[in-house]
Amino acid sequence: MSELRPTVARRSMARTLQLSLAVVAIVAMPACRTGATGATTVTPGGGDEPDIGADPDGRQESDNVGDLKARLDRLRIQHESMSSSNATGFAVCEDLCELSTNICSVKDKLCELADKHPADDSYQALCREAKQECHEATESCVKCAQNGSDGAPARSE
Amino acid sequence: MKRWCLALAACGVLAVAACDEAPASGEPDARLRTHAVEPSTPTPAGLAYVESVAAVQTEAEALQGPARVRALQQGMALPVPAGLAEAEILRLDLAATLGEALLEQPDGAYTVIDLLRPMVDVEDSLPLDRASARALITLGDAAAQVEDDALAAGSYARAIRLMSLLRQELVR
Repeated sequence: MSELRPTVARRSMARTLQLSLAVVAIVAMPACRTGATGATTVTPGGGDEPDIGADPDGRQESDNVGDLKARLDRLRIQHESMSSSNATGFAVCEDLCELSTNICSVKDKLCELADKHPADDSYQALCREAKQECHEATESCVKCAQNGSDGAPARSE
Repeated sequence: MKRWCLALAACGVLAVAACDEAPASGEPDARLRTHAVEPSTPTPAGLAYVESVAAVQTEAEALQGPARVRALQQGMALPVPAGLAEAEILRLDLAATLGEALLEQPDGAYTVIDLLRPMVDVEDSLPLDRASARALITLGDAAAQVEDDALAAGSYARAIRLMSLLRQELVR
């Protein structure tokens, strides 16, 4: 009896092992299938099950080289247009902010001169105008920087 | 009633005219007229001039003091080919760079005023470009150095007005 127990125990263990292996194989099979076809495309914001045959825009596509090349070209054009519009927006903001810095720096020099002529209305008027322009220029620089993410310069008025 | 309207209209006309009138002597003159510079048809002579000016600017950047001034003066002496509208901007930019270099020289401020004042005269229209603003600021700095406050304030105010126009062009 004492010799039987280990045998039963071994058989039971072997059956458990077989069952475990079968479960692992069933679970692993779908994973192997997706792995074999290459990367899967997960639809951003899609449902729980990714639509393996669709691109991010929802278009159905196959795995053939022609379709993939066409998709790559579409994405490249999309990327280039987004980059160029962002670069233009950034360049405009850079120009606006540089102008704003220059305007405010010249305003300081002008108002310093106005301080030497406190009773002269013409100097005071020019200093007021310069302050107003510096304020507006700074505002358009800030607005442009805030709007920078969509690449469009903000309107000051 | 009609007489009041006429008087008001006359005041309006006078006020508009006053905007473009020369101020009293000794007061800052901030009048500004600008024009856009249209690109000219490329010619070999025009291209050669643009390249020469660029070469002068590059050479001057590597120099200092009187050597830098001399290099920039040679650039100003380059003959401008006919029909090159952009030369106006190139010359103003070169003159502003020369002015900045001259300001570092003893008594350079007077030379800067002699150089730049006629180039950015209040009676003349200036190209709507940063080069004009640079030239006006340099003239303002030179005038401030020799305590010609009216010329300095007028030049600074004109530079601000010009840069304001450039800013408005950008946000349009």
